[in-house]
Amino acid sequence: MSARCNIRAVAALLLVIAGGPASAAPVPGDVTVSAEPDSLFAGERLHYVITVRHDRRDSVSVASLKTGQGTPFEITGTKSFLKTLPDGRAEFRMDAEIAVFGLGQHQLPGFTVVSGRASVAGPERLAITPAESVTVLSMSDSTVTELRPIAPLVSAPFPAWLLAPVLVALAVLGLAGFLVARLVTALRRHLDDPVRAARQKLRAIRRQLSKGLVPADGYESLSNILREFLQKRYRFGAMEMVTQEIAEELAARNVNVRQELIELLDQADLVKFADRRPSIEECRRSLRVAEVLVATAAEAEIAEEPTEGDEGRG
Amino acid sequence: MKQETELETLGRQIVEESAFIDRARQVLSTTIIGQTAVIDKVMIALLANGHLLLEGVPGLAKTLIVRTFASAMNLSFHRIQFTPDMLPADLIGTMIYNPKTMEFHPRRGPVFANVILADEINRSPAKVQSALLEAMQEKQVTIGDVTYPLGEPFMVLATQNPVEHEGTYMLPEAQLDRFMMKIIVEYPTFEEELEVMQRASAVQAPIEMRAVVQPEEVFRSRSLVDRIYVDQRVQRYIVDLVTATRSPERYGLGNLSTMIEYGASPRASIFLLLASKAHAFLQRRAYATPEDVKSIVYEVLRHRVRPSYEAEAENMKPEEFIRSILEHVQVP
Repeated sequence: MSARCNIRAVAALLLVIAGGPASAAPVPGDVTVSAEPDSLFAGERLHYVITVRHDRRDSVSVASLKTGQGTPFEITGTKSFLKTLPDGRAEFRMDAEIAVFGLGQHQLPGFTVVSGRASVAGPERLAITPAESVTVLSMSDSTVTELRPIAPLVSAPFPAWLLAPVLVALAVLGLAGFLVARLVTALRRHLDDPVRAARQKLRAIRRQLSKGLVPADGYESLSNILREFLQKRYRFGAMEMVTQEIAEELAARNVNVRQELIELLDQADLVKFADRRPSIEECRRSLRVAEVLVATAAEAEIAEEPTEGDEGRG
Repeated sequence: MKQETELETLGRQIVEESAFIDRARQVLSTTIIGQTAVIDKVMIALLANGHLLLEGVPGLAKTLIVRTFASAMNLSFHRIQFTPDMLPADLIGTMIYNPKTMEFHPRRGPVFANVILADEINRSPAKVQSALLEAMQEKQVTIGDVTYPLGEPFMVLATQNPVEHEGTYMLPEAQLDRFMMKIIVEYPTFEEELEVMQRASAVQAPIEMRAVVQPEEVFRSRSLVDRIYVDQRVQRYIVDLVTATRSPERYGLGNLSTMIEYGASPRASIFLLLASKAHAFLQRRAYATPEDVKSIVYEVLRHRVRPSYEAEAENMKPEEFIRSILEHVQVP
């Protein structure tokens, strides 16, 4: 904001003191000042403009700008301009940049307009005291008695409604993933079902017996199928165990048909390690018994399954 | 069918000939409390014509077991305490000059006995150890220019103290390999120790051990052990176990390849087979099963598998490697 002032009254008073102006000297009416802004913080710069209209044969300057020590003003820079006006007169202008200190309201700094002409004996001086003032504000609130932490930046709130479609999409994806995983698990469980696998393999061995499989080889397969079944069904390394170790494991797990299973494995051991040669009928009978035992073990497991703790076993 | 009949016949013979085992066990149990597993392993070594390395802290009746065993089997017994200043001649014997006849005569050393207890074998330097191990391998010693066969059966049971290593000469791996089994003699149970204490505190003289087995019975049993049937599947299982100590990665045990400096030699396979057959004999069976192999696999392999520097840093024992191998190698 800018402020312009008419200082005619003050100039008239000064004219009386000076004893009257020379005919060519500027009168107070020719001098205008402006300053902006009209209020500022301490230390900020004030743009102070002094304009003097005068006869173009006169030389004019501004001197004794009341700044510096003892005043709240400090000049940081000045520039002067001179131009001829259309009415034949001239205009002298000085732009001063002034740093302002000291809180409160201060009258703009006074100055002296010095004018003169070569034909006149000496320069004439016109002291100007502007009536306008500038207000200097403190950088901080004077009521503050303690240091306050700097408040964190408050970011603009995220528009929550934008999340809704993302959440819905995620939920749909999650649900779809869950259903697919369940489906895959069920399918895998079906394919890997040890009972199903064991029964299928036992039937296959029986079929192969009819096609000429040696009964001793049938017993070896029977042993492997049973041990694989036990390994998958009861989760222990039956394939790496001897029959005695398997018997101990089954006893520890209290498997209902353990005795019959071990008898079958013992029979197979005799065939495998004692070079016993069973008949084809004997082998068929053992395969049928094995099928029944596998099914019985599976049924017992299903009956036990409602309790959550047993889930890991089967 | 012929093979089946042969095995049945062999089975009956085994049952008849193995009667001495019960007699020996019974008479040994009057002197030795507990340690039945150690006694069984000693019997296996005797039947399989092997030698044993016993390891255990002092005071676990190692010497008593061996001495009593030899007495019960009616076998001559010598205990040799190995010391750092021992010479090979102190073990195998030397030529002594007879000034009357002006001739050198051989003087046989303590190695001439059926059962030798080489106590603290690692206290003697390598040349003495070598002299004994050579006798173990060759079953004969040469004194002067004459070679003398050692007694039959000839069995060496060497002891090592696992705690004390100062002033000892560790047996090189090549020599360790000569021992069929390494047996760790454990502390007795509370009840066993109680009984040991009560018996040892008796003032009366200990019961004199009487021989209940004749060496001929051992020889006959050995010939039956030789005839015990070992199926190809079991033989393959044995080789699988031994190979797994050398190439664990082939059996899904890649983590062990950096832990084992080197694995067991083919001699381990041979001893594992022999010991499995002897174990089957103790079970009165005419055929060996993987169960027999598993029963003696720790004893046969533990001194043949050397842990690497990394394994030693992690305080891993050969027994842990063997357990991992057993858990990964499929039983036939």
